[in-house]
Amino acid sequence: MSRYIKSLLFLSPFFLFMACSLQQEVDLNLPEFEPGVVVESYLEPGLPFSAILVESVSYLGSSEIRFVKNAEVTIKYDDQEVVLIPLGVPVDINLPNNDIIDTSFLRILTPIIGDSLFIYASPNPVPELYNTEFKLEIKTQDGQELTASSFIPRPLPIDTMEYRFDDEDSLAFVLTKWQDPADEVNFYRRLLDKTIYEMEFDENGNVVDSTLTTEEIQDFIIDDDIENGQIITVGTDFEFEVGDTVTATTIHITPEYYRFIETTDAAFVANLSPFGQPTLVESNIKGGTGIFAGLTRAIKVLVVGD
Amino acid sequence: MKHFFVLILVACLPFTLLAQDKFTISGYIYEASSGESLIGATIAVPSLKKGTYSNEYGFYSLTLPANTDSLELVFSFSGYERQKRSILLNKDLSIDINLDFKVLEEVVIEAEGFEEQLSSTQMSVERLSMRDAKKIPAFLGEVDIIKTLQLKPGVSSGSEGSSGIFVRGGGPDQNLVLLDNTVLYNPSHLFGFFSTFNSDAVKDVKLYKGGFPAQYGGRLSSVIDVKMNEGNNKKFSGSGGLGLIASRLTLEGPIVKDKGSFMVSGRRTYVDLITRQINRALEDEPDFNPIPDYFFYDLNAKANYQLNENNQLFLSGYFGRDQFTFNDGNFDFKFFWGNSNATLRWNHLFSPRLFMNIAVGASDYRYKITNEFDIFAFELGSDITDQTVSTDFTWIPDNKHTVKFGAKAIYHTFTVGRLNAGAEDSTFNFTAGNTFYATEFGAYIADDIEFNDKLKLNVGVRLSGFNSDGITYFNPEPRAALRWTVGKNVSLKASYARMAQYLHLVANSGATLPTDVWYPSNQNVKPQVSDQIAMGVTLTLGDDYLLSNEVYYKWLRNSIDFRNGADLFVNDDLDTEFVFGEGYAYGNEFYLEKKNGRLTGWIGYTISWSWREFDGIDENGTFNPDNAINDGERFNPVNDKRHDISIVGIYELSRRWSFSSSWEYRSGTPTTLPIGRFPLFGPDLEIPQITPIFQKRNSFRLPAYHKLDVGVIYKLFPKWGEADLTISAYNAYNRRNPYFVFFETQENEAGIPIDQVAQQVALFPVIPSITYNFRF
Repeated sequence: MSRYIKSLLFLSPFFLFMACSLQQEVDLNLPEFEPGVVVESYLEPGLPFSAILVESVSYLGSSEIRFVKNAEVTIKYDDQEVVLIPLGVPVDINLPNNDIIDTSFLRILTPIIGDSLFIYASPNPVPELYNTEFKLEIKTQDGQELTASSFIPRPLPIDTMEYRFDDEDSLAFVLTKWQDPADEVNFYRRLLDKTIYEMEFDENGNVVDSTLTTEEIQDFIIDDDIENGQIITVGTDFEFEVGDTVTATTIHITPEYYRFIETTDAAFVANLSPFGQPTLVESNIKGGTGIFAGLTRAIKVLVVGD
Repeated sequence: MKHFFVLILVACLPFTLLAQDKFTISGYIYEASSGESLIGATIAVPSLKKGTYSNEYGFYSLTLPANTDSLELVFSFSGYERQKRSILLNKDLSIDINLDFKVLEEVVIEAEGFEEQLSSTQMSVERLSMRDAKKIPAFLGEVDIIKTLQLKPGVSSGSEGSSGIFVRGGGPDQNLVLLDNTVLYNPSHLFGFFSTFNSDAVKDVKLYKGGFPAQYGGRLSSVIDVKMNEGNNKKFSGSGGLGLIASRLTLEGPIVKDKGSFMVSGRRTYVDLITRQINRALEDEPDFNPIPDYFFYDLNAKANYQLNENNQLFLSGYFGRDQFTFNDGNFDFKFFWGNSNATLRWNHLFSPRLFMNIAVGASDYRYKITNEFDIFAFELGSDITDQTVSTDFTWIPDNKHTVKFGAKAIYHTFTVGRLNAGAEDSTFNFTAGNTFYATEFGAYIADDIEFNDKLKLNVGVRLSGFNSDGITYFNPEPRAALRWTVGKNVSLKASYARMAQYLHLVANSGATLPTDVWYPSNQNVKPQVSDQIAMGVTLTLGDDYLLSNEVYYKWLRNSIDFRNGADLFVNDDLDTEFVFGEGYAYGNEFYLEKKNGRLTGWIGYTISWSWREFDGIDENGTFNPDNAINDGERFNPVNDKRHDISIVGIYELSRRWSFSSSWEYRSGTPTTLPIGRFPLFGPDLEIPQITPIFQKRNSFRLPAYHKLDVGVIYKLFPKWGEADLTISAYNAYNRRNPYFVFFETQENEAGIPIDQVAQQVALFPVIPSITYNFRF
């Protein structure tokens, strides 16, 4: 019998070899793809009016992002008209009347793609107008016209955040609760970040190094379809330790932005999973693709163990 | 309904009058050693060139003119010793026959003919011998009748390793799967990799691809009729097997010898027993994540009792579950799904010419996901429950007619997306989901008419109906099949069948998922209807070979798909996610079978096309782009397989050794790939997510699929019975068959995308397996 077992052991690397490399690179000839303009413009009270215009590309084409420059971008509301100014990053344009555009909202992106970012923005902050229709109008240099309209949903505060430890008191989960308004359909994007402050000590107990890292724990969308008018409670897994700083963000979003996220997420997943639905992105931009949407966000911070 | 039966009885009167100067030979055909009834055994009177077949209960009835001379009857069944009886036909005769299985020193060479394939009006049917199915190499050694059926022409699988089937361009939900007369709604385990049928418990399998007999209805594309073993009524016996992932055990024996028997069969996988040991061994490792538990099991049971020569009772049942659990102390997740069904049947013989079967049954498929977390609990599930009553009559007034008629009613209860979530402290509590009720019914009559030796016609109609949501649909479903014999060895056949389908599977993926739910027709969702015509020729080449060729064309109306980005998960308004269109499929199937000798097997080739069209135009002629797919242009669904080849060979070298192999080739599956992309920054201007742009559905084809399976069986002859070692290799030449293709973003060290490449993923490399089977 031992002779047979040895034979099997001898063969086992062969089977392991066979089990490997079930994924392989293949050449595909994708059909001609006609590029189009993709717009992202979000209206968040207090932040500057802004828009990013890019060109969609063939999937296997260049990875370089093709920003659409030299376009006329205007946002209208009530009797106001805001003209968005094209800006490269870093910003080097002298604005008339010594106006200043608060570019702090570029904080995350700029270190990563540096000079390649190109946006349209205005010194005017988005006003707190919650029953007002905002209209976006874009004319590109090659004559394409894109339009969209949206509104800004009312801000909804986060009522409570709390943590609860497991039986061994080692890890906690966090609950976030807010009141959903009754008699209307509401849509939310939920974000949750964990910030960890870590210090390194020498043998004398002196701090020699410290780091602050932020990790995204949750990013998903929900509607109030089954909880309309109730307190919406969202939880996490047991993954927080004493001292962790947890930042919960609830973004009140428009139905169009909800559907845009839903379909872009579905398309993203469908590319990676055989169980996904290959989904066409649903956009509210006429003449192009993308999203023009108002949003308001509520933020609450909790330190676990406090 | 009452008028319908009166009509049937009136229609039958002329046959009764005609039959007065004739006598009937009737009875049951059994296997001698076990007392199991044999389905499809041949009863022939060579001198008169007349014959018939035993029905699904082993019963036969042959009416012949009175004859004062001795007549010779020949009883035969493939693989069994034929028997001859001389009779004097001057009265009605009841003859039960026990056929012996051929046990020869050398391999069986004796020819069994292809009488049924040649003489029956039924076409487009595949019959599976369980003895052959067990010799064909199987994935991980688990004999799977559905995967064996996938080797027949016109039948293909959904994806690698899947036990879902597509028949003649139909969808995966268009197959009526019956286990002892009761529907199985999800006939698969482990996300479709194994079917629910334990081969040890199965006696007979028939797959109808077209020319559907009038007693069947409810699905558009196929009927898979599976009959369970009844149990040995002669002596107690058992069988089983030990495999790599599962073991089986079947016990059977007489309740009262020669009067009644029972059969109990079970199968269970045991991968979870291994993973639990691994979890225990590594539970103290700091970074170890426990492996979830997974197993499935099946239980089949059946009992029958013969009250007297005219009455017999059968009770059969099935219960199967898949269970997936995960518990890490804080998080208690359970996911189970499965079928259960039970049927009580009564066979009654009114006379040698009138046979009746009445059945009452219940069937259930459900899945449930539960999750407990601290004080919170979440439960999601769907199910479909049926209560069924049916009656079927076979009336054989003379040897020119076989009349079948009957009726069936099913009361359906659907629970769709039932969600309960709440906290012990009542901080939140909500529910969602719908419950629907529906009644489905059908009545049918069909006559198999033999005009002369050459021409035979089966004509019938089924009237089906469905009531739900305050609306009742009716569909007359005409059926016809014609056989014309040309010479001794050739028959030409043609058939037409309409089918209506009132239940629809909500599944937006090519894979078979346990969370797919069944949904009834209602005010907004109309029944799907198909019409299929088929023509074919069947000929025998010598005694050993059967060659057939069939062409078919199928139209589908009210075909259902889902709108772009459909939300199918816990959606109380699922109706709004459906879109409706048309479809059609056509193809040509070639089949060459060798049935006798050391080498047996078949070669099948199918060339076919399948199309769907959702133009977004409603009944009023109004166009709604949200209801169109591919801008209204026709497209190929995932079941469109242009070329499909299967070659199966079984070689019996000696009493101890037999070898088998099967090779499959299928054109690539249509699939949807993104052709463009754009970066999505989001309101916080994060690192852009690559967002794919999909355009036309199914506009690409994956590379072709092909693989070779090989197997060898070494028989052992212990004193207590029989045993064998079955060794097989799945995907023997280690073909990397495409399961799906995706685009991968390659990034530089800073995490910035620099390139996109297409990646193809295969599921299974070569997989060897070994199984020990026994019988005592």
